[in-house]
Amino acid sequence: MKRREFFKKGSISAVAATVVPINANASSSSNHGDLGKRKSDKWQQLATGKMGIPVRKKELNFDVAVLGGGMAGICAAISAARNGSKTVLVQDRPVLGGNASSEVRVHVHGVTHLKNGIPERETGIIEEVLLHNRFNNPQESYPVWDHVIYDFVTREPNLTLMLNTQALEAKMQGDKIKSARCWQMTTETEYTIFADVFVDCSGDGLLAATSGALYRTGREGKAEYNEKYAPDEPDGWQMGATILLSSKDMGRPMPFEAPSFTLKYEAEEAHKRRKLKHFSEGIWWVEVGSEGDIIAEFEENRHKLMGYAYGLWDYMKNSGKFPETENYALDWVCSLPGRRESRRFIGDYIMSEGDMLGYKHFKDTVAYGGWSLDEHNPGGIENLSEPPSYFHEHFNKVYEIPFRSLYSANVPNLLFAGRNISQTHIALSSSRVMATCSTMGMAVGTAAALCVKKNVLPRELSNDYIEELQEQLLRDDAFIPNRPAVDTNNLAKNVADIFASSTGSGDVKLLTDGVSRDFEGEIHHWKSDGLPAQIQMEWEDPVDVSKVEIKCDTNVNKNIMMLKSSPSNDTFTNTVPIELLKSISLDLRIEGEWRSINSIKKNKTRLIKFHFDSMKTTAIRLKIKETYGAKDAKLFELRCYS
Amino acid sequence: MQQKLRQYKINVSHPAFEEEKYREYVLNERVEEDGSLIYCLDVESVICIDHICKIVPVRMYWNHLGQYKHFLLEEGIILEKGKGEPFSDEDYLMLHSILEDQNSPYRNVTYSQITKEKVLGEGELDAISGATAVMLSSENTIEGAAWTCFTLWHWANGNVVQKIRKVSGAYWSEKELLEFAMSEDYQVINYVIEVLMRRKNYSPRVIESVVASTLSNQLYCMKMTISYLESAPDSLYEKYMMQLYIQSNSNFRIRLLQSIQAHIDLFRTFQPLITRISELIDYQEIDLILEIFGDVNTHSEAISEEVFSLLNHENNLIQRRAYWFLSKRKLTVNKQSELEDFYSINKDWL
Repeated sequence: MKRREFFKKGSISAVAATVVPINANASSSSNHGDLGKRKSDKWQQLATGKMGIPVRKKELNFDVAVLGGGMAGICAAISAARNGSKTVLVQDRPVLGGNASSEVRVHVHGVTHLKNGIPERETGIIEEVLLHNRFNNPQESYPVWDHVIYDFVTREPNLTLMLNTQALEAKMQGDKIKSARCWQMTTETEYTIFADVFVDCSGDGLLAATSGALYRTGREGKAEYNEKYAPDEPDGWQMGATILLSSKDMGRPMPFEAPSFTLKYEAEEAHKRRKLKHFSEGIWWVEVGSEGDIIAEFEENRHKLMGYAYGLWDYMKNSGKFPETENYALDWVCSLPGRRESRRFIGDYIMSEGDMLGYKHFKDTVAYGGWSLDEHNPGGIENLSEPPSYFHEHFNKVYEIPFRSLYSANVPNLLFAGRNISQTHIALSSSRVMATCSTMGMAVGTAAALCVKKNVLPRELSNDYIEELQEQLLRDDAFIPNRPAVDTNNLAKNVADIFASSTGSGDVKLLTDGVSRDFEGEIHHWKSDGLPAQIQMEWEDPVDVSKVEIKCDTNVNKNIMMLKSSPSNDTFTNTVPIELLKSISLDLRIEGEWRSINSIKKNKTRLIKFHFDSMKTTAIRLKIKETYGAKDAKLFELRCYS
Repeated sequence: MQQKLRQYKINVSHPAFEEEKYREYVLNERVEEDGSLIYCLDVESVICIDHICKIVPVRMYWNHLGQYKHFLLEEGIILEKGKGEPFSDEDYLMLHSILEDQNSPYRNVTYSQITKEKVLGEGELDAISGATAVMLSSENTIEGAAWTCFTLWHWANGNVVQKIRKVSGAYWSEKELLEFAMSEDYQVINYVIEVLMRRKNYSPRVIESVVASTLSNQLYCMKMTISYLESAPDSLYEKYMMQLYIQSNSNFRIRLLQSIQAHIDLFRTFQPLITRISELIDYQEIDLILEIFGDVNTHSEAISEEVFSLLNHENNLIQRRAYWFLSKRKLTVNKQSELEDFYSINKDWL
């Protein structure tokens, strides 16, 4: 029996995890083997004269454990920590970022462009990370980007980062995950991480799989979800991993001799869409998929990918058909293939092609996407005659992602974000891009923290507190399409008057309408007419205020992620957005006198927060002095809290 | 018959220029039979980097305000759409109406949207040269000719407009400018003010004329007039700002007050602000006036008297503002007592 058929059960192919355990005679619920015990260690310590056995077992306790430090996991961990949970982020590599890191160097796409060519860029934590990179890595170095992310994560209070650490196994208590058994390879230490809520953002989802969470692999057939782009019958094909490479012009002829593991590139068989124009930045279709156990095949496929990547380079250098490569030499080749697909866990809702193409509105929307249905052909480069991707369809507008697709249907304290969420293969072909995964990550991290705060599990949060989750996300500058904020705690909604020193476009009264970007042709902004500018809000009765939060413009119709080609045009920037507010100050009026509360001279975020000791006031005044280049300031939202 | 007057070398930018920001062109200036000035420039129908599209020379015409008037093609030259299809008569008319429309969607369409470098794969950019995937309704474009429309629209309404205004502005006498200033067209008035500022002309009759024109076109001319007066000699600024304030409507008084506050040292008196304050209903305007009075720090009883009347205003915000303003001033014994009474009754919301 073929391995894929083993997993097929009737018309709905949900599979309980029957993963071959790490040790031969163990089950997922018992302690099979102890990686941390070192009974036979014969350590002679010359410094102290002692013989000893090192302690290589530790237990840690957190509210929320996030496994997987790619972009989704980073956003999940940060949002959980910021929302009050003691959080750990466990990453099995020496760097953060996953496929976005210097190890793989895939671009952080999201809604990079809709069909009309215009981006609908993600805000919230992912934007903060990308802005942090623009400020601290103007040279656009990938290794430096790794450390930009490292800085972003390690500076966060309430958050512990563990690198070089993999979650190997879930330890259960009933149907809930009690702890994650982890191995930190650099310290030879077994960690047992206890948490109330677990968030698996690791892509392959080993922790989730070992917890017994239902998942599936392969491609659904057309009939199951009525997906026009699905195959007629279900099969095991999963999109593959890719090895990227980059080359540079050395200014002189650079001969190339292919290494021993090279696999010849059969150019005559290649589909015409296998383009080589941007060879200096890598060829994304050097990909090997699988219709079997793509995780088990990873090392074999990695070796093949190395062969194919070098084979393609050999073809460009030595076929005689690319004279422009004469002076080019490889300056970086990825050693860790960037993965696209393996396990997809089952939630209370399985998102499918129709939800996306039909732009379905969900009551529990917490994230969104808009990348095309970018399904790669089965087999990847081993299926040369097919186009590398079908690009089935582009989206006219963004689609919504529901919260019910982000938690496990059968492991009650497990959430997930990234490529492993509850969706069909076709849906994955769009939502797998990292900025979209980041919106999911921010949602589940926030949800995890709310679960801890309210002592509930994700399903209960979904049933009873979804509006609260959405309101928190909106306040934290996540964008939820078709869902204006209605936060009744926002004092700015009850002002008696709000006015600005000048108005170039929009209206200052729109700053409390609950939508923090211009969207689908409707404006939701106020823009000044020149700078400096002021906004003033007045209340009928005095109010206690301790927080003023503003959302300024960063131009969400322009991408800010790092691209190897470093474009700068109307839809991409390679600098700090000029629209971003740089200098702003806040005054409160107390007993008729304006008092200066705080002044920010070098703001670096779209969401600007003034938090201070509570004061009774009848008015606030914002003085906007400068942007990073734009001559006017544009704001989308103003909030005040007691 | 048009009489050729002058030629000017100008450096012009266009959003389709990829390699350089500016290119040099020759702007021709001619006088029409009715004495008006007309400008023309020979341009390319498309700016095409990969030589796929057919490029034809087009002569474009503007008036002295830099407003596009029409275009001409040489005899035998035609414009073409995609796949070589020639423009129909309707297409030419449509193109003209697109170029005339200063608010055409082409204002916001960008060059790369026209040429459409699309991100197809993960990191791969795949240029689709010549094809246009911009989504414009049929009322706003010519199907198959978006690139031509884009290129010519930005010629008609782009950077060359300011160049023309600068060139034409040097041509007129003061008398002619004052005749223009009597126009009902705000664009003409703003043009005149622009020229006067460039010439640093602040003669009394000129300013009077500008102020009069502005008062009948406040919505579109106030901003330009304030800039003009701010660059005038101090005494003239003071005199005419107050004159404008007295005669303007509410929206523009706030702009004027902002300018006054920024140049507060130039004012010897604020009488016009004092006498009007009790009639005002707009909180922002009153707030601004009281800030000005506070900045001036005068102990004028007249001010206190007028502000006292605001304690009975129907708008509570204004009452409160007035209270706190008066609480910091030296008042007569009676007025002080009256203020304290006001406080005792209203302190919960003050």
